[in-house]
Amino acid sequence: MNGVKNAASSIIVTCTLCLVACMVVTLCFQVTEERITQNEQAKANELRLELLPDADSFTKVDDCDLVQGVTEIYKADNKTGWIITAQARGYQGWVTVMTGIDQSGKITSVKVTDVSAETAGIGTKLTKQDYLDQYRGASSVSSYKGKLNSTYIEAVSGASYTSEAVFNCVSLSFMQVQELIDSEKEAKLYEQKK
Amino acid sequence: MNRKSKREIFLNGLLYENPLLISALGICSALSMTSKTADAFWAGLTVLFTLVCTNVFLSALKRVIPAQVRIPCSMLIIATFVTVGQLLSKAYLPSMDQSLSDYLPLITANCIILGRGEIFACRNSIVNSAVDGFGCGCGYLAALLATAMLREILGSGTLLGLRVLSTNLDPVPLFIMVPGGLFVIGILMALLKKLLSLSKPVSQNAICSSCPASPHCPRVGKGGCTR
Amino acid sequence: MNLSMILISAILVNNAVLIKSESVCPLIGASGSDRSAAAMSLTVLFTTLTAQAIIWPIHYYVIEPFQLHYLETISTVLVVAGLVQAEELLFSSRWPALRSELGIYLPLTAANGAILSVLSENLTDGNSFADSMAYALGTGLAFCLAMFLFRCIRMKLLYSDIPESFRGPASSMIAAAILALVFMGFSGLIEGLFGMGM
Repeated sequence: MNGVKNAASSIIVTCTLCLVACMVVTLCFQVTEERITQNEQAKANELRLELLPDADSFTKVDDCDLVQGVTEIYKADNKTGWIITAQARGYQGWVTVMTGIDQSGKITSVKVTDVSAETAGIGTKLTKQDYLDQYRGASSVSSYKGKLNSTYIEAVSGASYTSEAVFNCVSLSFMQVQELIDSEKEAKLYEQKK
Repeated sequence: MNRKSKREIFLNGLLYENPLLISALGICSALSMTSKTADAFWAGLTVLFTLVCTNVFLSALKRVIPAQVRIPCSMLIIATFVTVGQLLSKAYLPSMDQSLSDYLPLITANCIILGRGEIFACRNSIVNSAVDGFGCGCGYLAALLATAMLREILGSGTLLGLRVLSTNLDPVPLFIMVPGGLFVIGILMALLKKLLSLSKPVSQNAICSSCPASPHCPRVGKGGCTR
Repeated sequence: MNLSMILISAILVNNAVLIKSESVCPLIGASGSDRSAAAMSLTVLFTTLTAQAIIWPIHYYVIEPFQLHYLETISTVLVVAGLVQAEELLFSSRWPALRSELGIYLPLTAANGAILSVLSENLTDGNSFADSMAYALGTGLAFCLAMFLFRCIRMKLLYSDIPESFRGPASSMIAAAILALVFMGFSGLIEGLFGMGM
């Protein structure tokens, strides 16, 4: 009888504590949700301004088809360029990269925003600005030396999968910008035909 | 349990049962958070705060929680504190959030909080548990700062971001990595042990009371320790 | 990623204990005897696998549909702690001597950094059930390997003449430092074995 009583009281206490814990956390979440989204949006905007310093503000592009792997497109309101967020499979998880591309199709800046799934210490070398600076100003990237009109991108030794993921993200961003430019041209032609 | 004064409990947590250097708990957070002194300071502070709060809660609920479900209940309390802390810091301290988001999840995995809860808070009064939490938290903070200062100076030549090592000497990056951290903590452990044995002779009881295995060890106070 | 790549990565290149420096505390605490080391390793392995098997469906059938992400930590912690409590009851009833040898490190498995981190990483990375179980297996085995090597080192240390201050955790930490240094040599193994990516 004691055993059953013990088991029953254990279960009741654990379940009550569980409920109380969930309620406390849910309450906290309700209270802080709005502020958290505001803070996140402000931080994201700051990051975008870092990538495309000539821009003033950004609008999200929703009406264009996203290339497979691209998660977000932001267009600068003063038409100085785009910010493409893309994801590619790295060593152990997804690597998220934000690329700033100006109207002429050249990269202004590359930022690796999420490389947490990769090997600590080595994968994180790819977040360093000295490494990512090799992408700056490129209008086309290649992993082979000597490809015409393409900037050769060097991988980080010991982190080739992660380097490849960053490279893929940037390539996807180029593809996306090309589609955006094409669709804008089409829209202009359509307007002219009218 | 012997009746101890508040001062004794505090000193216990700070020195004689220092969670990092004597009881060898909380090494995981210590290794990842001590590459920079500033990080170590904030990490230690968050552990201190969580430790005091959790100890108080566990002690208050010690008669309510049956022994068979002590572990899930303690972890529930800790997880709730950490989640609430994360949400609050994301909302009200966005500038600190980037770095805080590194430390806060580690607290759930920090052995000290669960460990102190099992050893001390479950058997003592609320006030004593709070003092113990404060003492252990301060001890951990001090140990983290000592480790971080050594690792930062030897590993990157800086202290709080300012270069202190002469430019003729190259820092040894190994100290910022895991092996270096383990090594520095080991040396500090030996140092503290030496300092404590110099100040007062260590009795068998004192050794046993500082060992995390003591609640369950059959050889408490008798020597012949296999650790 | 195939199974062998995941396992080699989790056990050698990204060893949870020696490279990612999670859950070092049980390594120091439970390597006092062969029995406790073996018991600790098996406990961690079992807990990781079972917890992953339970948490994956909870995440995808309860948390995701109702967008309850803020309850993620609590649910993970609760599952692991529940398993550990069950294990503690099992040990106390069937192997009480072993239970006393493990001391506080058995309940501390509920706060094992390696277990909690592999569970949360699998969810963040959106791995399939099979991949998640593979990572969980890899992490459990990584802990077993680290524990085994560490136990061997400690057995050697028993017969060494260690200075007074260094006896106990201090010498263990320094031994662990050297072990971690050795494991750092495994970086780049995946690229070498499975071919260069780029």
